[in-house]
Amino acid sequence: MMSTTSKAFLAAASLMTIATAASAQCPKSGGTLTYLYHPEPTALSTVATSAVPVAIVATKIYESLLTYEGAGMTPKPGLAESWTVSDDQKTYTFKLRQGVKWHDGKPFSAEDVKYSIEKVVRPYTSRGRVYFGDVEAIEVPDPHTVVFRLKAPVPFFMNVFQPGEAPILPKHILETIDTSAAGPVRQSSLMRQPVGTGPFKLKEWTRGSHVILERNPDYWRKGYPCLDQLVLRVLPDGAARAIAMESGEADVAPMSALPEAEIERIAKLPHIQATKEGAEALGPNMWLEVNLREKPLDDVRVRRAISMALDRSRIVDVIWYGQGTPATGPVVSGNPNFYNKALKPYVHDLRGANRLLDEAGYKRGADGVRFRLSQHFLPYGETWVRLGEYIRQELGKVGIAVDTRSLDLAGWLKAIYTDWDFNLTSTFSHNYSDPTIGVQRTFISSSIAKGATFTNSMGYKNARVDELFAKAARETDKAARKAQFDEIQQILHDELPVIFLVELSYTSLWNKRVHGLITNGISMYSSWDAVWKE
Amino acid sequence: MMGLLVFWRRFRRNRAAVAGLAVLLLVVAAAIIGPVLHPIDPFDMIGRPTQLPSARFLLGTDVSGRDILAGLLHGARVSLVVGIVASLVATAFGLLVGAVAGYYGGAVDNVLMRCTDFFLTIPSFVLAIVIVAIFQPSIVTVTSAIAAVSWPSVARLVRGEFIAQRDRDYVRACRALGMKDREIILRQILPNALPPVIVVSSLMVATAILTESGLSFLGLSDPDVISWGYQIGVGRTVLRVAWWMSAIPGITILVTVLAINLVGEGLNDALNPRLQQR
Repeated sequence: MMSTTSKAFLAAASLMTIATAASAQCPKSGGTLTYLYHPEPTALSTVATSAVPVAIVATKIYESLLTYEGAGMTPKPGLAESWTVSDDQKTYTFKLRQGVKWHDGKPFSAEDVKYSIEKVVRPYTSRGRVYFGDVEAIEVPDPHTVVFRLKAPVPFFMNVFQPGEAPILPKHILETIDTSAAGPVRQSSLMRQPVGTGPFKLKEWTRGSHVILERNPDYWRKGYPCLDQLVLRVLPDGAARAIAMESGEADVAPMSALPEAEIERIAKLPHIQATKEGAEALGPNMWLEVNLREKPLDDVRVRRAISMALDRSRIVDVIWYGQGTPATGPVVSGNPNFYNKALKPYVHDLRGANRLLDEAGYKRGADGVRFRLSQHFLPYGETWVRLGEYIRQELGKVGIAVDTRSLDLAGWLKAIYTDWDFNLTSTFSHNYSDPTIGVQRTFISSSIAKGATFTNSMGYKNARVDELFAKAARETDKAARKAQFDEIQQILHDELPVIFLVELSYTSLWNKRVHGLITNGISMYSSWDAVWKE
Repeated sequence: MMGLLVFWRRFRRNRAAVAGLAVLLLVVAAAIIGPVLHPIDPFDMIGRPTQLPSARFLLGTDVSGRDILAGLLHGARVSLVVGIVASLVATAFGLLVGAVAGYYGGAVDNVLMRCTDFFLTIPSFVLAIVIVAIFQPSIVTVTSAIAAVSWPSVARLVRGEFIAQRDRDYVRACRALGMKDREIILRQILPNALPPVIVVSSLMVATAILTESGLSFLGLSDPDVISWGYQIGVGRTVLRVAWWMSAIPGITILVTVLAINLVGEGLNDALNPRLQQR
């Protein structure tokens, strides 16, 4: 993955410019596409949180400088028409498209890019500091040129301008918002009444029911988008979502939006297309996040015991209906360039778990209980409830009594990432193709920051891990970089700052009358401007 | 003793009520000794998911490969305990409010009854959902929520009885004797007002079980406790693939609630013999 992108990027650099993609026409224009997801997004911008429901809808509204093609994520023009990279790979110059308008009619310019990245994306998004931490200066020589000056070469820099990762927001509205702290930005009107440059703009958001996006008639790509309307229907009941797909009422169920039990049945229907493609660049890795600030979870023996008490194959087979692979560490095994093949699978060993807990000094009481823990679960539907039940059950067998707390998405995000008020919670994180992008933010001590979602909620601090991640982020020698990531994986595998459980795999389903959904490795996080419906 | 015998003789006349009682006793027995006879943890994943009933799993397995029969037996405990405790609490509170309001009348009555009206005007299930959602679902909050939405009907009933009784001669005589209000309420009027209350609160157990099931079905139940409504809720996600998973606990609820209703009617006949001569 890394090699393809760097090849593409070298090709781009040597050509110096890339012309706008030939403007093909939509095979058919018009129509409404309805897609399903639960839970409801908490906001319509990934600045608020990069949670899946938010990212799917926000990437249709907000854009970034680039778009991507193919599973290998070849950079293509987006808001930037062309770009050049200096020989020392420390200066990136983007020529922006002219005549682009915000949804409110104001013109888009390079100032918007500089302002968004500096004031919002870098400080407040979950991966912003990883992407733009080495950016020394962003310069705007003219309204249609933006220059990024880096302190050191960043090996993945052409990969960061994805609509969900580095969204460009309107400066003229950001200026009216207090950007000195994360809170006011995440509460601002741009999160609820978005003003973007994307192919679709917000028409209506009825809480608890639906979001309607309509065609942006001034979209810069002439003749696009193909669809008139894009509707997100929020159906909290998994069976109802399955029936909506079966009856043709809904067109798309992206990223395993149906319960695993139903995916198999729906995928077999003659009018349904199902695929695992289009998510190659995501690599969802599911784990139990552990609050390391308190006893007894600060003790690595206790965490190892918890890990031993859980049978990962059973979780895959029974709860995820075979869709996934037992995890061995922070990088998913499907990552061809960075996965450390030396990692051993975790063993399921109740006796060993009991022994470790005894050693750690947590003896069983008269009622057989060693200690109590609370657990939250990711509020993404029934499957996660089942996982919570399984964990409570299995930990109960080794004398850990677990009380489950049930919260909605907003409450869960706040409890885990703002209040740090939890012991255990299930969650997952996207690996992306490069560990610096996808893995680092969960485990480095500098991302212990209240409010930024999907960061180091555990309070994990390991100087060696910090050092290795810092080195790897700038390492240009591939073998050395691999060695650094290998060591990180071994440390995290052993120390278990989170209990790694399952590498998930997404299945997206759609009605065969819909075309053009799968375009790259982040297909559901792409703009869908060329998606059309018969 | 004589009283009980007379009561039983009257109760027995209603065949349906006797049948209901038999079923109810069976459910209670299942709840008490069931988990002992079938000692399987209802949250243990012990088999392949969504299996049809078989010799190994008498009622099949659910979406996580858990034994449905074990869930049913453990769920019986939860459903019955929640139903009974919620009804007892609601009855006690309703008695208190109704008795005070009915006995004293005037401003006290007005204030208490307007509060009661407030609860009566909000659809009780919706109110229960709101209460549970605010206080996070647990077995205590669910029981309290059900009690909180159930007491007003008892209060209205008791108030009516007290108003009818409070000016009777025997009550006046008690007052003339210098008996304290508390004594008159508890020892004189209450025993006379009790029979209809017993009937109402026995029926309330059935409503409470249904409410609890409804809440669990919506996912608003204690996530650490299995109940019948929870089992239906779990099965609902695969209704198209495995209908029996929801149907089994559904029928159990139906039968139990029906039994309680029949018993309630039998109680009514036995405690209000005049009605029988209709």
